Amino acid sequence: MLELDKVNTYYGEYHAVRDVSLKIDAGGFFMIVGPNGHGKSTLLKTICGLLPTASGRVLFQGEDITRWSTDRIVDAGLVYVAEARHLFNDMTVLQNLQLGAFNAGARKKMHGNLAYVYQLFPRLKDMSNRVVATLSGGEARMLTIGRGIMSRAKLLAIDEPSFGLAPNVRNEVFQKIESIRQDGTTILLVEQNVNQVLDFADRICLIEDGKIVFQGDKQAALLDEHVNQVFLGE
Amino acid sequence: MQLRKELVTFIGVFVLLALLPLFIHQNTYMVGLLITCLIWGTMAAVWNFTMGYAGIFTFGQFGFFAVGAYISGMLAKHLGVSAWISMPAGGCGACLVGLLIGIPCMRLKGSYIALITWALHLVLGPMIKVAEPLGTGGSTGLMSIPSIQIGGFVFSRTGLLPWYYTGLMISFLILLVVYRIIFSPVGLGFVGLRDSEDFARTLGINEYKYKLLVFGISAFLTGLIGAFYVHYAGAISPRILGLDIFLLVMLMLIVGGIGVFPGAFIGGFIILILNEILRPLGPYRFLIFGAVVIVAIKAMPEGLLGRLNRLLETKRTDSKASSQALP
Amino acid sequence: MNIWVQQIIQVLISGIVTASVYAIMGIGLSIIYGISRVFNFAYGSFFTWGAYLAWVLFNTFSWMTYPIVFLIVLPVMFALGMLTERVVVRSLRWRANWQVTTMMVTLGLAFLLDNLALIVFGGFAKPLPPMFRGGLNPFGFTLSIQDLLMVLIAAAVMIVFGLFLSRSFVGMSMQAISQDMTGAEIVGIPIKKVFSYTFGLSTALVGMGGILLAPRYYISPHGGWEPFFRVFVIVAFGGLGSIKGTLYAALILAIFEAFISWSLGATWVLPFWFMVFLGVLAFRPSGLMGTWG
Repeated sequence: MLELDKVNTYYGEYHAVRDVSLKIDAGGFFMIVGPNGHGKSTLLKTICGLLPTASGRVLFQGEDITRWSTDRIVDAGLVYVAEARHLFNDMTVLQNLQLGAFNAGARKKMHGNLAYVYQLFPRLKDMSNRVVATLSGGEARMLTIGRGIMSRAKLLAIDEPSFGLAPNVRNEVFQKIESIRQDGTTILLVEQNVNQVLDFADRICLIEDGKIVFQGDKQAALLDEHVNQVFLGE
Repeated sequence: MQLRKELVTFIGVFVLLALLPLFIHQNTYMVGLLITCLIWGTMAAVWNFTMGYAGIFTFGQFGFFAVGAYISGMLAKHLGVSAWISMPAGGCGACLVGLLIGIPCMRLKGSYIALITWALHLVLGPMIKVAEPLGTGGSTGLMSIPSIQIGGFVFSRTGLLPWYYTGLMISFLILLVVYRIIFSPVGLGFVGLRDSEDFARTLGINEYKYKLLVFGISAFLTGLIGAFYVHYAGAISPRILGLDIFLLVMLMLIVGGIGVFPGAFIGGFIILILNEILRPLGPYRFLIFGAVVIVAIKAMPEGLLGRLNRLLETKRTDSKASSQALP
Repeated sequence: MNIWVQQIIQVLISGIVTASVYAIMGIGLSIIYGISRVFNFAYGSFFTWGAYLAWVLFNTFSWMTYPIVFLIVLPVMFALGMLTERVVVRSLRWRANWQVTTMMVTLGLAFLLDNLALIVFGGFAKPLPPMFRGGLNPFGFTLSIQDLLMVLIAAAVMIVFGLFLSRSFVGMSMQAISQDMTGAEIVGIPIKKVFSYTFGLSTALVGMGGILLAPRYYISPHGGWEPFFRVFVIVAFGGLGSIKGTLYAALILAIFEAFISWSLGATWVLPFWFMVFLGVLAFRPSGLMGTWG
């Protein structure tokens, strides 16, 4: 469904993503792990059009989306869920969700999408008229994910959803993500807290210094020495 | 001092300017035009220094120019102060205004400084008019401002060479100061760090102090050249703050390239000579200039001279090894 | 009624009338800065051109009326604004110092427009015919119907705009961009298109202001700078990016201006605006209700 071919990204002069090639199949749960600041988030942002690709290609459902603007990518069904909230703080929860379904296709199914999100995150329904600035970390994170699926994305690229959350809340978040996956959305997840989410993943990729150091099935990952070192290091 | 290409260009231009009158001193019109170019070119150069090197987005330079001019003019006219004292006094006055504005401003974000200084420019005119009782001459302006004197020799209004060489000297000194600051270890370090936001944040208070210092110096230098102007022209009015001149000097910056030394100074000559050539066109002249501003900014972000600069640079570094290990 | 009170109320009315038009123009400037973070120095020139276009229509067609003028000129201004954004401003955004270069390039545009007006229309100030002759005399005050209309039109515009911002998807996307640009991108809002619409909207608003004020103040090529300055101070006072702030500021400052003009005379008006501006900068740079500091 999603394929990267030798993608390179620069942050100014800094070469953040180097020659990354990977493949994600539809319906899968693909996890990217690795130390902080080594390019995981940058990679995600590049895929979703928020950062320009210096070279290489990004293919989504067979189409070359490398040069596409973010709104076109969202239209095609690839949605980014940021680690830094990037929510509309002066608006209500409901308004944020409504904006999540901005693109024309999703707008028509607004009602249905909203119902789906509320079913997945019942607390959001209770808070629908609350101003976002007043939300707690966990609530905001739910909203970020909820907003991301309002457009009925085909692939959801989620950036460190558990960051800054209490362990029990983290678990809840991961469970929700897995439910979303089971409902048919492909998941691409960047995470540092590997342990809690390892069960759900089926393919894992380790990035160090902007390069892919390992890519393969979860089984293979668990057997790989280097990968284990990184996992144990948490 | 290191033999940089900027230094070579700088000295070269001034040597050329010093020798030029030998060929054209008969032509008073041309000498006069050159003096005007000197004045505004210098003004543009200091503005370029403030914006391009120190990264302070200011539209207030004309304010400093006017303050320097008015102070020097008023001191000379009302109090009979010698120009050699009133000119630096004008610079100091402008510097004071600069610090007054700069102290609250330099902490703010770039675009805010631009807006604030631009507003300063806009309101200085009415302020001058309102301060008429203080001797500013109101909307008609100050006239019959005394000439410069050396000993007993008074600079006349017809023999322009003394003006030319005095102006050249003042201009040279001003640009020398600018050059020394830009290429000082502190200056170079500042530029290098300025462009990367993360490092700039760690500079913190030092950045503020440095910017304030640069702002004050640029105000002084601009006030100084403004003071020279007022003695040369013999008169000044709030029209000096008109947008027409603003646009012309801005064009000098753009043509010369923001951040290129001594681009804006050379730009001064280019633009003012162009202005003379286009003068018979009347209002079309500014129409064209307006269009030139738009086209120049979009097509040549580094300015004509910036482009040249870059071409020279790439020729030189072509021979260097192309692979630099990336982090 | 006491003659003093009568005069004061008269001045108040005059202040409110000007405030209403400044408010519309203030909204235009506020959204440009709030959403696209650029400053359009050609704002005053568009003000003038809106009025000039209206003048052309009135001069060419004897049957011309204001509603038709608005119907024709406002979309033209909107298109002009979008064109300006697309051609002049857009490509600068991804470059170094884009905020300053945008100011410079719009300044160049202002010159182009002003001098174009000078060439096309000449330097003599031109009037627009009054919208409505005659006046009312409620409680013994003079209130021209024209003035009343201005307030009503302005109020209508503001209400419609407010609804547009909070109810329509385009309006909400504008708010979204102003609150979190990256968030807006993530959600799939076409940022560039919205910038375009914003510029167009802002130009239309200032053009409307130009038309509304022209019958009273006459149109001249460089006549846009003073209103621009006033609107600028209003927006700075009310807080860059806050619509409500702009409204309050317009009301407060215009009323103050009316009083100053009445009590101290017209020469004190500009210095008044200046002092307000200095005050804002010194004590509260983010303005009354500003969201950007």
